[in-house]
Amino acid sequence: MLFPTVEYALFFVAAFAGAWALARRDGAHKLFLLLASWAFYAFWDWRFLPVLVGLSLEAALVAIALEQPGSERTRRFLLGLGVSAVLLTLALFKYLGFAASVAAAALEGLGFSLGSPRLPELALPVGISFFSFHAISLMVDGWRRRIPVRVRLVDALLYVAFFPQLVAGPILRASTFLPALARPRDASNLELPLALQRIGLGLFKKVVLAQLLASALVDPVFDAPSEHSSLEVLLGVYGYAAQIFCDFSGYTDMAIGSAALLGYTLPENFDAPYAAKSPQGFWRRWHISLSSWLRDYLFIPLGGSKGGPARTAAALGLTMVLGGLWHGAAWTFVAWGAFHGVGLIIHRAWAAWPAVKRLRRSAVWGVGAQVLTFHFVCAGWVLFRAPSLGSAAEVFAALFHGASGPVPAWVAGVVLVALLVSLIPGEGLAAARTRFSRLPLVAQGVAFGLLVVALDALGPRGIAPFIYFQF
Amino acid sequence: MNFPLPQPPKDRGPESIAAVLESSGATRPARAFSVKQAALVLAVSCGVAVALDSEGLLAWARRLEVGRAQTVLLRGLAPLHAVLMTVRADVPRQWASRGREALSRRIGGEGDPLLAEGWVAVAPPAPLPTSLPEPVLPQAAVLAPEEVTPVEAQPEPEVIAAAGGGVLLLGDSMIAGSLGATLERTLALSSGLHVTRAAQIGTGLSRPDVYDWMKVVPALLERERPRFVVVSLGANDATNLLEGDQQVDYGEPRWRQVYAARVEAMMRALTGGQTRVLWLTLPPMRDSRLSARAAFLNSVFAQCARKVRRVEFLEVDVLVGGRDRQFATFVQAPDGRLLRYRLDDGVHLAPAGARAVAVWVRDWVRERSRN
Repeated sequence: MLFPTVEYALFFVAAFAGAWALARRDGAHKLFLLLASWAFYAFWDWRFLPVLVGLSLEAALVAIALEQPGSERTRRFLLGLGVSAVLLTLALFKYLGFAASVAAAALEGLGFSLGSPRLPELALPVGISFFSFHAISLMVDGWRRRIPVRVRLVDALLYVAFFPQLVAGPILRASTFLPALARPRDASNLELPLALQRIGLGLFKKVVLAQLLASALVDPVFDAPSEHSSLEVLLGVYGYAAQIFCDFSGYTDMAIGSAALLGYTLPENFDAPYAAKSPQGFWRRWHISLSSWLRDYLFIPLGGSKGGPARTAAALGLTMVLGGLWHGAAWTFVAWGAFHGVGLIIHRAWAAWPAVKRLRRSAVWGVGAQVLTFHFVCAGWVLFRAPSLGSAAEVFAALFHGASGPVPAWVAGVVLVALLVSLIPGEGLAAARTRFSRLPLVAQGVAFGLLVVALDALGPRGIAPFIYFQF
Repeated sequence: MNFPLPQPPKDRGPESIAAVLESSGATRPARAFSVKQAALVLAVSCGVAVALDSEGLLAWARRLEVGRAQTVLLRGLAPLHAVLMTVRADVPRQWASRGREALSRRIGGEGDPLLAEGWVAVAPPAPLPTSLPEPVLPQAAVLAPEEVTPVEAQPEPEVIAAAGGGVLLLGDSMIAGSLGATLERTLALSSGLHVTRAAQIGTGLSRPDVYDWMKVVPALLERERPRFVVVSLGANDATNLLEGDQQVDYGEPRWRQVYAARVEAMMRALTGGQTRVLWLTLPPMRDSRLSARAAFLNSVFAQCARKVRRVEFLEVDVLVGGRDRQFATFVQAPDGRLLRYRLDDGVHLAPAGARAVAVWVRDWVRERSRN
């Protein structure tokens, strides 16, 4: 079920009541949350529940086994087995068709024509990329002995399946979330203002801004770029940058708010990403939980930055390409990852020049770097949004075909508002939150209720799925 | 650590944020909230939302799958809505809705206002079953196929499409998405005909109690006067439906009869004048369960198309299916290249798949234009 729906509201009220009613009985509380999370997942499609349960159970058992004393060789074997099982499951559901097409194309290049590959193409379980990463984190953190508490089966299963983050993150770490699960619930210290603010903000971003941008601007431009003026296409690309931020960070806001009401803290996933002054800065601010996961579980094991510039560049490029592929089994995502990888490598080399280091201190340079980085990111979004590389090329071509046409000021206004929202830093709303928290309780309830009604009325009919659910 | 991926921003670390907040007074200790207090706030919020947005809730309940849960919800919400309407509790929502409509008019995100007429408004509140929408089914639709009135005896809508008109693309998300966009572009470029897309996402013919295509089609034909109509509907239709006040479950024999009558009525409405209709079947889906449903609905479309003159039927799986016309994300195109024909959702067509269909439709339009 999608967050901004009545179904989720009803589900959440039941989950809130049940979880806090059982808060004093730790085992029952967690078991209840686990069953609620599985029910939440089964609501999408119950046939995929065994995939979630199976993967998380396998990862939990491996993590528990890795806690036991044993030889390093045995532990490494166990980890390899566990991670392979997760990756194979992910590959089976997500990459089989793509891999077959790549293989068939390669064979065609060698003169062997196989025609259309015939492989069982399975429906994609929602959120499989996210819970696969949770499962891997559980096993790797266990293997690294980074989990400071004893891994319990229900805790480990709940860590993978915890419903606020289950289908689109933020990606949690076993090393931090399992200790949080082990702590007793504190029913006297809920972050209520934070929860209400994040849920309200998330609804505004998703229900109003993201959907408005998609229907009024982005979809028409990306569907037929050649039929729009260059200025409209440019606005459409900016619009998509704003849309994907509002869509994904809106989901994250609602996830953080929901978890806060249950007494859990989820990590931040965004920090004013379009204010970044470099590709490196962008990845420190965009989908933070994914980029830090890639750093810790892929880039560093690949050698990190300790093996010289060439080795670092190779590790970085591979990390970004695989990160792109994680988003979807398509060349557009591979190209998007490679584009960012090349950008990071070039920037890394560029930033090391002494002359550049001096220039970076000036304010003008800072503004220029910000504008350049934003446009670099927007160019990447074209690859990300377009359904094929050919379509992406059409969008790029349309940016320069020069056809003129009016750009509605109101559309530009909505894009601007959405981009300004994306510039609010993670902690930027703390003051408003503190003031809100001093209102009488009934006034807080009335205000939040009014906000929900207004957002429901302002949004279009029906809720489009979140962009990141497909990953 | 030299890794260029995320690390805490140096310029705005936790310390600097704390300093800013302290100067603004924001870090003065906020109240600690207990679960009981949170529950009170949430309860008040829910109360306000239900009181002011009963119309939205009723509309939500109406969109749910037809079944016992929906009936119970409607029975609870309809009287509540009636009571709240007497005190005009919906006024704040109406203001917000007007704001949205004004904004949508400015930026063009609302779509065709004529198509918006198809969404069935929340019925005037009254106890069930009268609170359910009036059946919009044509008379013939409630008859078994063998009893359906012959074609000539059916009341024709007052729509005559002028010869020489353009192409109307009509459907759900298939037409709203890349298939519709590609068809629109291909046909406009190749035929020079005016092409209009009439798409409403999430709609079909099984739930006229939610969205009623039969209500908008006559006006749409009157306005567009198309020479050709290309239809892609059905992807949302494998669900329980209402026949009058009676629930008919998907899978029952009666379901096929009722649904076929609706499809046939739609085909007749579209071919009211000299308009030629091309009905696109549903493509095979990645999910085998959805694929089986698509095949079932396609058999209904085929059955109906045979009964109605000027309706033709394109088996899309021939164009976008893999071997044995089954679902395949990547398909060998006629030029031998292996191309992505389907999007990741396993339902909709990717641009190359849409092009394969659009080329066929373009040739069909050319061919029929000569006749």
